[in-house]
Amino acid sequence: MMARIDENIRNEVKNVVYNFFADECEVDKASINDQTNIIKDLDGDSLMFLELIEIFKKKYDLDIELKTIGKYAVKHPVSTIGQLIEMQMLIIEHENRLLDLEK
Amino acid sequence: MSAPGVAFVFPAFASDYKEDQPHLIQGYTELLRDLLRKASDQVNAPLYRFDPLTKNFLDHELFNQYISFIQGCTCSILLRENRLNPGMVAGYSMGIYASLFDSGSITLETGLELIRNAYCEIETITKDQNFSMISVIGLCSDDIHQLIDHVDPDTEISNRNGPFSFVLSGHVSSLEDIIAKAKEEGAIHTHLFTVHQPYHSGFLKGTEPGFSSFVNKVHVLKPLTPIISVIDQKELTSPEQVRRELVRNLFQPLDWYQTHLKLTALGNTVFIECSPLNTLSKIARFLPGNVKYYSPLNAMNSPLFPDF
Repeated sequence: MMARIDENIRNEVKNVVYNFFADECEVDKASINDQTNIIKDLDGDSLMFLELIEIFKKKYDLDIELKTIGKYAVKHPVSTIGQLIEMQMLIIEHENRLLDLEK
Repeated sequence: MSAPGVAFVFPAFASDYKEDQPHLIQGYTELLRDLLRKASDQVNAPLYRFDPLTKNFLDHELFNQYISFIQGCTCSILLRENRLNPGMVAGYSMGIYASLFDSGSITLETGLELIRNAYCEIETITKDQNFSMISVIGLCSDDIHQLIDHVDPDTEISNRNGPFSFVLSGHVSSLEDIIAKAKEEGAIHTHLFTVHQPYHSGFLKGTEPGFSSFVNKVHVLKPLTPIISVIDQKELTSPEQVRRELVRNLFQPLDWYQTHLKLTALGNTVFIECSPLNTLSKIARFLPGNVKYYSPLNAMNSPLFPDF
C-alpha cells in the first residue's frame, strides 16, 4: 500500500537528512540548505546515500530493494540535499514500485 | 591487561591519505617519523619522505603498503603504551601484517620483509598483465555472480564486506565491464581501485611456493592477543597457523562481513581502527550488531577508557 506523504513526514525526512549530513560531514547544520551540493560542498559520497536509505528503511519499515533505488538513481541522479530529500520521499511513498514512476 | 570487548582492527593500505585524527595523539607524528626512518633504511626506500598532504606515495603500491603497515604499528604501540590492550585483533586484507605486529607475532622488521617479499612474488606472477580490484555496493551475491558469469567468469569475488557489498579482483577490462553492467543492474556505488594487483584471488595462487618458502624462514611467534582470520574466521593460535594465513592471504578470498560477525559474537562491542583512515568504520555502518567504532584519538578521549 502506498504511503501517504504529509507535511509531518516531509519535515521529519528533512530533519533526518540535515542532521545526518551535519554529523557525518562535521559541519554546522545551519550551513546546510536544499541547494547544498553533497559531494562538492560536503565531501559526501554514495556510501552516505546508502546509509541514509538504510536509516529510512528501518524508520518507515520500507519494502524496497537497494537495486530498485539504484536503477532509479541512475536515471535521476542526485547532487543536492534538496534532490536527495525528494528522492527519499519518493522511496517512502512508492517503495518497490518506485520504477513504476518511469512507465 | 587486555580490555574485554575491545578489538583492534587494521585496514588495508590506503586509497587516499587524510591528515586525520591519529596525528593528534600525543607522540604519533614523532613515532611515525622515527619508524619511517628506520623502515627506509631497512627496505632501502625513501619512506621518510612520506607526506600525507602531497600524497606522494599513494600511487606506489609497495610503498603505500609499507606506510599503512607503519601507521598501523604506530597506532598499536601508542594505544598499548597508554594501557589500552585489545582482547582481540583482526587485519583487513594487507592489514594482516600490522595485526600480527600488534598481537606480538611478528616484529616491525619482519613485517616489512614480509610485505616486500609478498609484493615481489605477486609482481613476478602478474607481470605484463593488467589487473585491479573494484567494489560494488547495492547488489546481492547472486547478482554479482550473474555479472561475473556474463562478463568474465575468471573474475573473482575477493572479499565480502556485507550482504550487499563486495570487492572483486580480475583483469581491468573485465572489471570495467562489470562496473558498467552493475550500474545498469542498480548498483548504488561502484569504484575501481587504484591497485594494480588482483589481491585475494586465485590469480595469485602462483605466489604460494615462493612466498611460502620465505615465510617458513622468518621468525613468527605465537600471537599473544587472539587474532581472527579474515579468511575462515578461526583464531590463529600457533606460528604454523600464522604462517599458513600469511601465505593464503594473498590468493584466498576474504570475508570481512563474517569476521565482523564473529568478532561481535565473541563479545566485542568496541572496535578501534588502528589507522589514520576510517575505512573499516565506514564499512561497519552497514553491518548488524550494536558495536561502536573509534579512531585511536576518539578511543583515548572516550569515557569508556578512563585510564587514558
